[in-house]
Amino acid sequence: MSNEGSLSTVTLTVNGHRYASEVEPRTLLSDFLRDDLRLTGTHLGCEHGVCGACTIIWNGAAARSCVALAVQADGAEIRTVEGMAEDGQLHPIQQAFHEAHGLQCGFCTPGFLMTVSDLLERYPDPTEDEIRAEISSNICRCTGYQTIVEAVRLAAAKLKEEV
Amino acid sequence: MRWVGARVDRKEDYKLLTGAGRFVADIDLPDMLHCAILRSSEPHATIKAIDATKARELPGVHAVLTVEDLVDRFDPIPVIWREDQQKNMANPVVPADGRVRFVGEPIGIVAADRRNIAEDALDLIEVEYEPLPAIAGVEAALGDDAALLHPDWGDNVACESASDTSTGNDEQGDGVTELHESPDVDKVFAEADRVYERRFKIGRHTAFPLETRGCVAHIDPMISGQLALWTSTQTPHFVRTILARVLGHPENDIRVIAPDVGGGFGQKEHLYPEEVLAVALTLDLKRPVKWIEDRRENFLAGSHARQQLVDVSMAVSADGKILGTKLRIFADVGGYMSNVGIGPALSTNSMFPQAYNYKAHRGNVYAVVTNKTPAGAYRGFGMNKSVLLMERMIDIVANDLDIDPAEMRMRNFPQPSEMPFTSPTMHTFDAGDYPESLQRVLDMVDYERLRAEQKQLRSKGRYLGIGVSHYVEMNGLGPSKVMHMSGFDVGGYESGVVEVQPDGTVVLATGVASHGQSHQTTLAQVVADQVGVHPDKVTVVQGDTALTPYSPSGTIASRSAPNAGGAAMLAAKKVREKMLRVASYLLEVGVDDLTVEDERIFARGAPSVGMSVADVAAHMWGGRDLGDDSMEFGTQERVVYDPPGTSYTFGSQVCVIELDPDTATFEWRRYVVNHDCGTMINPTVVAGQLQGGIAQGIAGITLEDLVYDESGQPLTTTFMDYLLPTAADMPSMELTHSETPSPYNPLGIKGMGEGGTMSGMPVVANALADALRQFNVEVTEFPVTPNRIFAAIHKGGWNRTHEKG
Amino acid sequence: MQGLMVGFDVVQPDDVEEAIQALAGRGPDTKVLAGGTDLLIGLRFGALKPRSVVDLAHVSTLRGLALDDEGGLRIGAMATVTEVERSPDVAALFPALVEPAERLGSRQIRNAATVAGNICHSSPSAEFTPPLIALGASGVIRSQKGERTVPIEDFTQGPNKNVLEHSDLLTEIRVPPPEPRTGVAYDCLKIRKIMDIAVVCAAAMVRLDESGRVCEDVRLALGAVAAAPFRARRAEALLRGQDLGDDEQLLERAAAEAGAEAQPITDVRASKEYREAMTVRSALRALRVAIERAGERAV
Repeated sequence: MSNEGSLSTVTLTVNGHRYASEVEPRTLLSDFLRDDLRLTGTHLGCEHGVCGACTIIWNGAAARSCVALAVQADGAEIRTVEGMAEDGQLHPIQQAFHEAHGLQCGFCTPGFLMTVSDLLERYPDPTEDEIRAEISSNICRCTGYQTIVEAVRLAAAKLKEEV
Repeated sequence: MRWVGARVDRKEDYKLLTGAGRFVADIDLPDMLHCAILRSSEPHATIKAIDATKARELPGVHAVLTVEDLVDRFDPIPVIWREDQQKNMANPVVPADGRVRFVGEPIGIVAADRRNIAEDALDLIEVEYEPLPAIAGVEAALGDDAALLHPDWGDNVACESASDTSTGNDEQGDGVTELHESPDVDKVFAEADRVYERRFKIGRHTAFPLETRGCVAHIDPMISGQLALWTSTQTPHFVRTILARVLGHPENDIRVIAPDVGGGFGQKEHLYPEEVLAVALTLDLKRPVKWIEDRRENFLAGSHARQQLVDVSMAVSADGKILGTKLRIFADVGGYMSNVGIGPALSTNSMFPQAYNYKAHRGNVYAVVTNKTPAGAYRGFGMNKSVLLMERMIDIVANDLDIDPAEMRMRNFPQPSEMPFTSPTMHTFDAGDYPESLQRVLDMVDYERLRAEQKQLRSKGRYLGIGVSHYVEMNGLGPSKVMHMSGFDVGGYESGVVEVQPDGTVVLATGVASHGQSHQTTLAQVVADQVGVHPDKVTVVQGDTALTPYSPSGTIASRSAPNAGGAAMLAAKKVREKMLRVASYLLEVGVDDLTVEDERIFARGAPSVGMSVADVAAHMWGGRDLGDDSMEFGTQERVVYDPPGTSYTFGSQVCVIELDPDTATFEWRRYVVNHDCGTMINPTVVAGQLQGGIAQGIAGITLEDLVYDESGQPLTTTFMDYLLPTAADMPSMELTHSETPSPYNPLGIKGMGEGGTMSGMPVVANALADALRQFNVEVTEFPVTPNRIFAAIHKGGWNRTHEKG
Repeated sequence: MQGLMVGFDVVQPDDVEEAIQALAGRGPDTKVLAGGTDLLIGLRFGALKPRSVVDLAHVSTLRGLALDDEGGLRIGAMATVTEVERSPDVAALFPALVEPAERLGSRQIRNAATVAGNICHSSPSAEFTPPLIALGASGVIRSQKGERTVPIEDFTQGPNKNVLEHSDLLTEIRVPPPEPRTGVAYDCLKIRKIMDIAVVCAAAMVRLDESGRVCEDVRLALGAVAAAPFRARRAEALLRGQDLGDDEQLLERAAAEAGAEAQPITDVRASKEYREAMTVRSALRALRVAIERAGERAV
């Protein structure tokens, strides 16, 4: 159970694929996803748990991958932005961000998409205040948030239609 | 279908939405090493010794270069915005005199197998400093016994500049000063009914693009051993030119590529020392190296902006007509001047008179060095402070004269019949109905009723704040001659290269580089209209010096849409004309009777007589008979477009807040903007740019501030201390547009990337000030934090009125 | 530049015994990892340089929260803030814990961060410490020496300092069952509306007598305005045994006294004076709501 001076094995599922990898214990989950698994859609904007660009879905809940060690995710089931679109078709949330112009430079976007997918799973019909409160976990420097709020509303409508 | 003006969905979105974007941190090359930068921990000190022995011995470390290894290796980084009396025209990559001038200043670089090993190595480098007295602000810097950052200068003023309508100034730089009446400023002030003087303090902010800076340098065997630099920049061509100069390396051997860039907002329009250091390592080690800045480094070494101390004087008549203004601007530029030098502070002065109808102005601008991170460009480039200062002063005067603030603006606007109107700083505002624009937002909020409601709530102990403001923004930087005359030593032109491919698809190559501005979509719309195809059929190639025409200044100064858009439009128009001539020959229809639409060139009135754009293009590329032996094969056309004039975008806004005096915090009630940037290429993109800019303006008034202690140590180095706005901190914005086309642009486009900050800063400042007016408090210091509001309400902080009677 | 995360080993025990053993076997340079949201930031910024990290992720008995037989609440060391925020039991019986949960960090942080970690990190502004003090909660601490229980009131000793020895593990937080005629409430002020460190937070417990007028007992705990969260005992003394219906100014005076008991610092977020004033306001609001809730729980 100890691993002093050695590498630890991390076995986890990301977007439905199973990975097993040896990591230094100090490796951050975000670095593990980006550097070891080459899933570079998860971005790093602050590396101190504030900006939300590194948000992933970890065992069904939004999490910041920059304030977690890879070894903590041993056995976990993780979803990242790369797992959203299916067969090249954008997920309704992605489609809503596209239609509502909810992204400009796109750097914060993967984190927002993950946050919003968690949000809409729990609150399918959020009010504007609820949207603003919930997405305030993520920083966007381009949009002033207005089009992101609209994108979340649009996504909620699209997801309801699907049901 | 006309594509310019249509809400075309963005073409760049798909990869960004699916995690397939390629930002510089995503680049991974075989054999690549990872860098970490050694930075000064001292605000002001002499480096006595650096011992990197242990770092060099750490397994996995490949190179450690510190000041002494680097000091003679590079030419300094030039300051591009030059004034005659400027003391430093260039800054060292690492401190040549062994003296560090701000916490975070680069003094070395490590390359290692992994980033955390490089960081471990930094921890093993011992730097011995001899501390020097630090200067933490302009007041300290200008004190009699102030320590000098650059002792050979004799003081801490890097540069000063004066403009005065009394002596006639050629601010516009077109060699013409005769236009205006050159009123004597002192005389105007002496004869005025009232003179108001205020000192304003504006906080230190920075852009904080969500992607930090970073680069990958590589000698690329795939491109003939060229030095390739992928860097997160707004200005790849500018970076290449300056990098070649600093390295003494042939420019044709350097290829600079801006991959996907996660925001810039001005911070990424500079060449930084770190990029030079990374390139030096790749040249030494002959291996690819990568440097990715972390956020704390970005706090310390990404350019800062906006901080100024400004004395404003305004002379007015008893009925509220502005007669003259005086400014003394002390810009806190940090330890060195960045690429853009005194430019932002000059812009603050130059645009201060805004679109108000008066003649006398004097401005004195001082760029003051302090032991802080160098200040550079940030969205608005000094102009948001022009508006903030002017609009705040108008409210202060209006309050004192008991004139409604909206009415005071109306009394001072030039009327549409007076346009074009030349400001005292020689800006000629082309067209626009400013009174109508302001009236429109006043009507949207039902201003009269709102004021009545404010009064009514006041009697119930509730404090509404109603902010009114108007701005005019200079943008679309060019013409080149004007830029040089004003001291900005780069060209203002843009080039467009357009080709219709043999299959009828289209490529536009442009020298500007998008980092969120949607060029891939908007420039495609511009080209699509000319060549008669859907924008989806147009690819915009950008961001790579090897593939695009030279752009002297890149995506800065809200110039991509008007200037690169203008170039793209003119080049595409030439392609269209050439194709129509060939089609005319092939179809035997007069060229004037032909048109192109939906990918077909056909005779007007006889649509069946025609051929596809693809067939014409294939014919032209195929070396076939063009009907005119003097015509070149192919469809390519290239246009270099230097705009004949600067464009002036404008907007009016009203903001309503409710202040809670108990907590000194506030809630949003309304935020309404009317905006005019001439022809809109894509209204959705325009709205997005405006809203984003507004957020960056507002946050500079309500939340953001880079704070240093008196010893020059930064106190805000994380996002828990420097508060960026979240969705919960922003108002819902209501936007309307008027469209007064620019007379200078072939499409009537004006720039609009920065105006949001010019909307957000003054109107929110005025709304808060309007609420605080009810406590007899004047707002002159920014940001207006709860802390400051509380102190002002309860302890009589800030200014009280002290105007001359 | 600052990612100076030193090398360390990670131990992942499967049960509490193993965890305690792991802690005992390593020196003081050992840190416990629960949600990791504070620890990882400390590591990132080089403020913490442990040689070992004991990760509790696999200790299933520490997870979750539940009501015990007496109707009290047991919050396991690995129970997340989100679990508290969304628990119907907590909402019904301990609303003063929902409020700090909602205001802590961001959604993602709340999904990972634990209540126990919030207490153990022992920041002066820790969201949960004042309400747990007001609720009379205690922490169960295990080590090889055995088990002991420490009131949360006595837990924090200063910025990032607490009663835990390096070989101790806080395994559970116990909140006593709600009492009749007793209300508990929480109030905090943040400058950025969400995702910010509090300028001040206050939690109050008030127990009324059967008449519903006299304050039988009161606890008023303040956070972010001293080196550690503390009880404003002088303010409490003004209220204890008093008829609250008698004197409308009494609550104001008690709140003002709480403000006088605060010893805040000035930093980039707020001045000492502002914090003092906001302490008065938050104390007053917490007291008012606590009294209101006490009235609603008349039986």
